[in-house]
Amino acid sequence: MTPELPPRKTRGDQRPTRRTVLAALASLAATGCAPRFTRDQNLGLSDSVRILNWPDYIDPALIDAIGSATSMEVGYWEDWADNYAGFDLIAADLAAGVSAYDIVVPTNWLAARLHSQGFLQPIPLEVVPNHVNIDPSYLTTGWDRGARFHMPWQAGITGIAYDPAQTGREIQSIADLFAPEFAGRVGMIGEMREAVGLAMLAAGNDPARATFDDAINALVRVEEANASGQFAGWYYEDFVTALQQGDVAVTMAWSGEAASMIDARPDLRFVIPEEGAIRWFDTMVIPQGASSVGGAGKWMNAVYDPAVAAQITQFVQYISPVLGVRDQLATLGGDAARLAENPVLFPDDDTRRRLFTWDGLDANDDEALDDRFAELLP
Amino acid sequence: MNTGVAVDEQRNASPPKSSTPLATNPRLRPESLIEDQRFATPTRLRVIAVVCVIAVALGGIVAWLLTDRLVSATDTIETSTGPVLIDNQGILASLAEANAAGAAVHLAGGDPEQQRVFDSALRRANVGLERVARVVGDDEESHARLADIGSSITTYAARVEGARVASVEQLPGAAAGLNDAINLLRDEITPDVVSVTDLAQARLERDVDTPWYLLAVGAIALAAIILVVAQLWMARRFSRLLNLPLVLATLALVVLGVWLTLGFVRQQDNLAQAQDGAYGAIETSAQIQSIAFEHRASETAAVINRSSVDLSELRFVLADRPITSQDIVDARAGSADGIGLLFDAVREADSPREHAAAAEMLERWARYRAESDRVQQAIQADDFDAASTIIRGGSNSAFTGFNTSVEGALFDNRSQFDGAVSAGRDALNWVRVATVALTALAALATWWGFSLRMREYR
Repeated sequence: MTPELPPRKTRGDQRPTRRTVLAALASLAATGCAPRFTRDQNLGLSDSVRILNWPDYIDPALIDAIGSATSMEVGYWEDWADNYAGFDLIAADLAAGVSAYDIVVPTNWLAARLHSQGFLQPIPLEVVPNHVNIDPSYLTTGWDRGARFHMPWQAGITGIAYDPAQTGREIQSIADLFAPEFAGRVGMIGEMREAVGLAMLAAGNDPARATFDDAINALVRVEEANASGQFAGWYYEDFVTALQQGDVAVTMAWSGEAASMIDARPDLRFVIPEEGAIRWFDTMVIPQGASSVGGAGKWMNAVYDPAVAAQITQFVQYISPVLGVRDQLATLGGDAARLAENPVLFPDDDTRRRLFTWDGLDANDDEALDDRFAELLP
Repeated sequence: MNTGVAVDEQRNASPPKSSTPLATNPRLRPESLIEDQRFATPTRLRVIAVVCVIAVALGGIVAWLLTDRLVSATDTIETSTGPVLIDNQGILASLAEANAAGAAVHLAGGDPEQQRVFDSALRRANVGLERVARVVGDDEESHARLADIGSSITTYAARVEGARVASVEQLPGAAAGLNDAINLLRDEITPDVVSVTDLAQARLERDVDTPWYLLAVGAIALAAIILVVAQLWMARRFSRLLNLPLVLATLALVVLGVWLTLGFVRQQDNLAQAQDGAYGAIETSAQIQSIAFEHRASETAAVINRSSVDLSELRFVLADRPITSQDIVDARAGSADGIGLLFDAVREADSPREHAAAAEMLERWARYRAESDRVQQAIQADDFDAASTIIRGGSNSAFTGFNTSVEGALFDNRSQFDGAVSAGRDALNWVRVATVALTALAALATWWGFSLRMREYR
């Protein structure tokens, strides 16, 4: 089966601005309280679970299968169109200390913000024995070492996709995004942490230990290139169309969409640049006020079974944070086994060392960068 | 309200046995009665009233002073001693992690990922150090040690960086520089951190060990007894069964005594839970981390120096045998029959969540140990390149998994410690206010009770 393109990170017309979302987060902070594990965490209900996730992030048939296997009634909504719109859906509830969902799946940076403001409940480890299957590289986030408050759903790489027929040569470096020879034919992703992160890597700086000065310098480079007409446009998942139609020759690209794109157009390429690439991940968290913490735990445990996780990987073609998925895919044979050999889905050790997850800045600096970056977007 | 006044009036409703002055009624002139009546004069009553009120007030003051001291001691545990103890364990763990990562950086010729781990661990250690310096209070010895640690960490970081640069540039002395750094950490920094911990441990024991507080309960009990005696005396002298204000005063003191006792018991229970349960688990987790980091650093150093290393002793300290799947199942159920810190962690866990966390530690240790065995096999085969590849690859990942699982357990234990200490502090929340209010009530009621009798004379 050819997986459908998961239209991740689409930007709805009605989405709130970064500024309003960040302001909302700041104001909600006043109502939050420090997260604290108590020995007698109330697991609440455990025969149902309500999940708010990104669109097309799981095979619908698998949702039913998990519900049957866990004897749970699973409510599943795909309304998390992007982090801003998603946050808007839950903000009012967070302020009131209630939650219409037992699991939501923000991107790592937003999960960190929610955690710092006390809006997340601990993962109920006692009902999630498969917590041990989290890939260790996701356990070292600065905001939650050991993953006590989150369990990654899927991860992706922001690298570079290109059409060799248009570039006339192989692309290996981030510097190529800024190369004069491609002026006006470069696509950029409209995510600050990814665009600025790649520019930092090009300058030899580490986005996983971002400093404000390094980040600003990288942002200035992006701004200058944008002002000089280097970029053809700012894209999200539609970078695929832009590349396929020849609107751009080279573009920042998300690995999941790129994998599906290359399935359809094997002549196109996706590379992890030699300087490195940005790794991001969306992660399952339990909001304060969720009524079915036990049910949330059962769902998390189910999707961290390598056999189930392998089915999710087959469907979405993103990087699974679950140990053992590669072996599962290999044993399935056919297309699944081919996925197991995909270096983008399963980067080797050397490649992994070149993947960087944005981290290091405090909320104010992050917000300042977000605001300034937003001015670049149409 | 049914007070002593009403009862007294009811009793006074019957005519007096005689309207004749005592001096002229021979039937009412026994010497003892005369003596008692002298004691029952308004002046005498006033003296006894003042004595009783002073006894109540003194009892209250003693109780308040001791309660205030107890609350202060508990506050100190919550805001100073506890954080110092916990942060010190975090500093040790961070330094050990930095040490292991520093060796790996060296081995990998400046591996940015391990460099990031090194920097991050050192930053956490420094942040912990600053936090300890802020909350440790006026303890000069602790401050002196902390200053030494801060200075030594700077030297340590410089030595590791020097070794890294020498390694990248392939200059001589890189390994020696790294060894100097490791020795500095082991011989100077770690003992200093341990000594700060010891000082905080002694303060914790002193602040938790508060049997003198029972004197507060004793003082209140003594005051209550005095009121009971006064009540009995008045009942005998004035043929009154009850003086309700005095009863009220006595009850107030009884309530206060019970309040003080319950508060103390709850405070002690919670502090014991924090000290023996949560802090014990924190110590165990921190020891596990330190030993595991030493294991990792020794293994890495062996590959750097192209020599063999015997890790059996370190492994034995953690677990006396390879972890089996049955061990993990047992750990989830809360039982462990092995020897070693990892099994101790299972035994110290006292909730399903902690059992799950301990089981995860066991499983991730088993994975790391399997990778470590591969490294050992490569070393024994003199294939140091293969050993190096494993250390930088699978072993590194498995070790990260193990280390963060211990950190996660530490986080849980730390939250539990904070929660228990806070609960201990909460148990004393209203005790000081209650002491003042109930003592004042008892004193006023006592005076009121006596004043009723004195008013009869007027």
